Amino acid sequence: MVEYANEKILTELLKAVSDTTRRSLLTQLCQQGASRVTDLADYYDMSLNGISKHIKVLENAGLVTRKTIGRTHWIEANIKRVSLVENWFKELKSIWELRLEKLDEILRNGGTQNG
Amino acid sequence: MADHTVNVNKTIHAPIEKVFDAWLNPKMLSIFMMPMPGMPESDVENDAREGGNFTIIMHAGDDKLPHTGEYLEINPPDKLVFTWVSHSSVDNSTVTLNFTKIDDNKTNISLSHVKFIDEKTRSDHEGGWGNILDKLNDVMSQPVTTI
Repeated sequence: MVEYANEKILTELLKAVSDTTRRSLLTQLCQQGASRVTDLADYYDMSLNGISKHIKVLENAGLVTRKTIGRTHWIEANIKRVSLVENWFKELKSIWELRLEKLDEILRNGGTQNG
Repeated sequence: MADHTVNVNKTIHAPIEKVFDAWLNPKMLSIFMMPMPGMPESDVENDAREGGNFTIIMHAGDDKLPHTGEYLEINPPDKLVFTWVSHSSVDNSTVTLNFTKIDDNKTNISLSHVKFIDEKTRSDHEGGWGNILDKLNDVMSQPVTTI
């Protein structure tokens, strides 16, 4: 089958979120916005060391980014990266549904010059 | 199972005549009749009348995926039926499209793709089961032997 350019990245992303805690962490960051590492550790009742390990995995997969302001580390979800997973989920449909979506897209834009 | 059906319903944001015509227009077909998202345009040739044939060669990477069929019913702008033969599959199939006007700029498409298991495949399959049941019957009708 066709090799997507994003295939390798998607594998890394899915590996990173194969863990329940990391999935929850990412959900939390997407829904609540940037958070301090210390607050995340409190929220999950984990040591700073423990939560940092999970954040590191998400960071390596590009799912979160870290900003240091003063001495405080802020963690933020990288929504662009998350959308790669979303795009894959959107492809889990019948090819006919995808074709009808495409038809809708071209007719909404007024069709082609010949159409 | 003798057949397998895929049903899809979708609202298309265009007038019913335009939506219907898109299914017979080779330029339009070449854009939306893709093998999967993000693939280049297909090559389409069609003879858009009942009994006419069409050929759609889809591209997936370097692979060419030919699909052919015959228009069985062309009833603008309500109904379109065609056979659908994918050359990578042994199954024969029919695609039925029903178009319903929702308003001046919205049309519902109800698509039904019925795949029939190829006659030979089916008879081989039935033959297979028949042989197994015959064998079972042979075994069961043997006098019970004690060890």
